[in-house]
Amino acid sequence: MNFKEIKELVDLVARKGVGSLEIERAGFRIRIEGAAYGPYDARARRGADPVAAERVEVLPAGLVTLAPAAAPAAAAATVIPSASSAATAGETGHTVTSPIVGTFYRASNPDSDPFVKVGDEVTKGQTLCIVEAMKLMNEIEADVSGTVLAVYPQNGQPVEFGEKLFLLQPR
Amino acid sequence: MSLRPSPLGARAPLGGARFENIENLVVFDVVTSTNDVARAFVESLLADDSEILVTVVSARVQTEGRGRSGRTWLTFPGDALAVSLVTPWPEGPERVRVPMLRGLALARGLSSRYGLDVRLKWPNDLVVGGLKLGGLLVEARVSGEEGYAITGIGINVGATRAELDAQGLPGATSLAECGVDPARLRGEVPLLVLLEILDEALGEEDVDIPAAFAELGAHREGDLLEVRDGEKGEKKTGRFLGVTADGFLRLETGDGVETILSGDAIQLG
Repeated sequence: MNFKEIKELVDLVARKGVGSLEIERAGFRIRIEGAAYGPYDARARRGADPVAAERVEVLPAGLVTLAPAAAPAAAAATVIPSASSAATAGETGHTVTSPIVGTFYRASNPDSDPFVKVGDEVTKGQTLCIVEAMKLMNEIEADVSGTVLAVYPQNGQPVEFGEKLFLLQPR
Repeated sequence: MSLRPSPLGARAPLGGARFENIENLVVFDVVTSTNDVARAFVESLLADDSEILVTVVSARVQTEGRGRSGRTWLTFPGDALAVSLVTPWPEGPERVRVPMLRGLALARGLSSRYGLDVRLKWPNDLVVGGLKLGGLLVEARVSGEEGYAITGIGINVGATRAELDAQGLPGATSLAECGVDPARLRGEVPLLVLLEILDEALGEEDVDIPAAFAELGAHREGDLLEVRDGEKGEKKTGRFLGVTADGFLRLETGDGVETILSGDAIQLG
């Protein structure tokens, strides 16, 4: 299944107001959820960029989930995550979650390169991102060494406490 | 909390002043950044698998052009105080409350001890009469369930109006400019006062933040605010509706009530 086909499915879910759609093909499954997605409602009310409001999950079992944040119409602006290619059937990983509610930043400042990208090898203790709230600059470090399989939030996106930030393949 | 012996032993500064919750105190004359020193210290503890001690690193803040950094014991605080407080950071959603708790404690403590009306301008500036007396910035690091937070605090102490203006800080003030008796700003006194405030605050973290902000915040319900988020280049204007239980700002804009996580609040009316 290619990008265009996935986008058409997301559009279909948005257009028809379908609650969720799940398709299984050889090697992978995709599930598209059209309903409002819990904590992201608040984000949508704050007028966040619809792309930033997309939720993309790469589940340990290799399940790829694209869940539009709020109104089904938002699903029309779907992007395919760079992480999705890293998710293959049967792959497991170590999830890094957010320790606070805040804004997710992939780099120390807007002009810098991201701390890490999908496919990077990271070592335990290496900084993965910053989550900021009320001038509380919170550096999140890798608690295992391994490969970055997925980066879940978009840069600048609000994240909840406990929300998945990264999937690492420990080595 | 039981007191542990200071790793500094007999060289403990400030005449060996002891506190309930602050376990370790390191005082420099001048450093480039107390947060950098505090971070190096806590990382060295972690590298040794040692427990993170509640530690304060302090130094006078030098103004531009005044000497180079040197490591000597502090005896005479000058224009400003720079203090960094290192604390362990137990896992949990309440972690995010730390900046607001520290800011409110400082506003309350400085007000009561100096007889001033110090208020917290959301999220992290300490102001008197609309002028900035000081501020705080929390840097934290998390690895799995482990973590620590460094609260960096700067307070203008003895700087005069002319000195603040000369530094390009017309919107700033100092304890001296606020009319605090100069005798109470000499030597180690301001540092000891600040340490007392922090020591008390560490023992009182179960605070009703919305109520405390209503009492100590620089904004009143209905005030017109502009909130700028420099990182994201966003700007929002609306009526202040108070803060949430975690300290986030509630703003009524044309789009409804929004909860603001980051930015600087500017009073428009």
